[in-house]
Amino acid sequence: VKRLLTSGAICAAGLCVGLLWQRGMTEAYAQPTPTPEERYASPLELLLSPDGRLLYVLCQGADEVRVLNAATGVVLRTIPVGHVPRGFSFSADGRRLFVANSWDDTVTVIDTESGRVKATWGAGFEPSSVVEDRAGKTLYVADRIGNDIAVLDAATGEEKLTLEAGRGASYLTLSGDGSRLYATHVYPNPTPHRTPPKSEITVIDPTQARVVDRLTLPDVAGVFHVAISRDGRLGAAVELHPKNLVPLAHVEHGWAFVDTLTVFGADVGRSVEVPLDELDRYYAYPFGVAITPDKSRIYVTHGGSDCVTVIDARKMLSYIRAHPETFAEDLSASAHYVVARVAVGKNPRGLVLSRDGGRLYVANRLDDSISVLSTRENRVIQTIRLAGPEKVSALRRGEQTFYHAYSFQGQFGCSNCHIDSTFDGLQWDLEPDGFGKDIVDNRLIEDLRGTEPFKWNGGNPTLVKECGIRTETYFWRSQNFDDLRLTDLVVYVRSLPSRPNRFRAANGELTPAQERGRVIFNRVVDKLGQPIPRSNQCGSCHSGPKGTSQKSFDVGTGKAVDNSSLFDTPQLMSLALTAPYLHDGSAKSLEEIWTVYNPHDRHGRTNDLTKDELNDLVEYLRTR
Amino acid sequence: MRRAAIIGVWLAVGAMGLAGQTAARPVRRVHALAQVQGVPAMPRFRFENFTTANGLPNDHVFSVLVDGDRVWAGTDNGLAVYENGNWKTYTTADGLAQRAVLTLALDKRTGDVWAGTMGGLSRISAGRIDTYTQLNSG
Repeated sequence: VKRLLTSGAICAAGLCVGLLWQRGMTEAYAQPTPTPEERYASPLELLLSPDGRLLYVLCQGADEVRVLNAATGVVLRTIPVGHVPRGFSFSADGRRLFVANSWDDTVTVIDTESGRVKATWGAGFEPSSVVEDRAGKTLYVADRIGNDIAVLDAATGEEKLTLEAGRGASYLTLSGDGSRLYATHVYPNPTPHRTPPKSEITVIDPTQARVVDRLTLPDVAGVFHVAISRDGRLGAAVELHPKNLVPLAHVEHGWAFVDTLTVFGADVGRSVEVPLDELDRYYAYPFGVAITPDKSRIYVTHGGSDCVTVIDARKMLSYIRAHPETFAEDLSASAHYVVARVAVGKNPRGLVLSRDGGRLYVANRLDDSISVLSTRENRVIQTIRLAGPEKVSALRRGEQTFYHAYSFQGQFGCSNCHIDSTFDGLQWDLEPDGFGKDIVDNRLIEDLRGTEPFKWNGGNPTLVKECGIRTETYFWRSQNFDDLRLTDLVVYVRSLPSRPNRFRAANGELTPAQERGRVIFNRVVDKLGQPIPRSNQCGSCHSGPKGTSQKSFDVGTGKAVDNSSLFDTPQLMSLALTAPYLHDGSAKSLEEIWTVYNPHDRHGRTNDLTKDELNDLVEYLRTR
Repeated sequence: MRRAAIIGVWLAVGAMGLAGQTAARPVRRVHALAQVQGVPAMPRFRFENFTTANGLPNDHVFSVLVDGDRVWAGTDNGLAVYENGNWKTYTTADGLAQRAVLTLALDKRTGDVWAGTMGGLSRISAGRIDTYTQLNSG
């Protein structure tokens, strides 16, 4: 079924994405859809050719790979790939380049000699990273929506099996000797309600295509790249360490996010979480990480703070050995091993070191540039501008605002909780009304037009209020946006399209189970022949194309800690992706909304259904 | 675990714990000896018993699964795995669906172990346990 849905989704993706993207842009601007020449490059990831002469740039906004002369920055070749590419890597022999296209569910295979696309393969749901094993026989693809690693035949692209990874599997790194593959994930693994988040680094033996270990990352939610030293003895993963169980008032009384690095491997002897921030200054959204060949330095990009952190690895290891206790939340620690912060462009993401470690290339996603750093001098020695629109549009400015850490002391920005403009899988205690009061689950922010009001209590009628006054008061606890910046931000948020639904066939037809579920969703009479009051029919509150009447109701899900049991009706789009559910995230799955939290039929009439019928209803909801 | 144990037979023996029949020599050799003598002599097996006394979480063993160099035992009080001469136990605190593990299966492609319990189905994948019940899944 998954393969069928995959192929369907691939076909649908281009059409849906094109239509939705076009619609989102048009609604936001009332301007014509930009031509390819008008699209920003948005460089996300970088690779250097084995001889170091060519710099490969994954341009997510332009759906291209650009091949540059690494010395001069001159573009030598532009290769179109799939939509919203998120990761790429060379084959073991360097003759092929694999690109993971996250919105098409495909991997593009490029001949590096000719620059031609040789094949396009289906690869799970939302492929985000791709790596070939050393033998050149197997391709591993991290699937963000699939929460797995697809294992493909590297010659044919045939999927052989999938390996369970962390939730939101996204980034892969192969060790230097090819004996281990490390996978990270951007959403936390499920944990009991109101307990600290937990993530993992999934360790795979690529010679056997087996998961052999899972390094636990306690208190971590949002893990990005992982780097392994050339000798395989030192690993480093960058991540977010949120404090979501206490009121967000702690932004000004401590912190809500710490940005950390987990180091592991034989050089460390254990997994150790190392803070990157300072006592009164934070370095938000750590994304890319690289270790120099001699293991003397570790470099980390900070997408929210527009800089690169330089770590003296030997000092860091000495500090770890001298402090066997956990010090992840001791922000004074970084002074012992962080040796420089180098300012680069806007929203720095992927980075790559030259073979000798002398140069560091950094992709600045939101100003279409590459910063070249001298690692000896810790300064930018060259900035390569990528071709694209010269004018910075309102949409672009809004995206820059979204990804910048505006909060008090630069702790975090919108993208901390809406990772890659989605969600974070966490529940937050936002307001200073006491510990554990009014807990709210974070919601997806795609295709929001027609879903107003916002907040679970429906308190914000517009995005201007949601992103402006409310954000400034409860989140930033710092300076306000000026009117223009707020307008840009709202333009950007309103433009976010809904991603392709992987649970719905390309032609829109429902499977028999989904169709049975649709009938249940729309029914007006229960199985006993009794009319279901209109207020208790699914389609009454979850009405319209987006599944919301835009009104608040009490459906019996309020808790003693909630100030009110009235909750805004959430939209249903992409519902399958956004577990947990209900206003406070107490339902771990869609099923639990009714099997656990609807004992008195106040959240729709469901207790007359058999389990199979409830399963059908859930199958249908996943198509929304 | 020594290789000799791997070619042996593992038995769940109800309330008596777990018995590992480990041949001191290849199994074929044992059978040949029995035929030559022409009598239904017992093969010369060495029984190695495992109970709570040496690490099992419970002596009610419902299921056994040999997985390479590991042996899994589904007991009335958790899932145990024998590896490198030691038993490690997974319980509901680790995410196991229910304490009584009735049946075990190995996905040979991925190495994941599935445990059928009295209160749901659990998948054990490189130490991580994901649980499926009627309440939280289809």
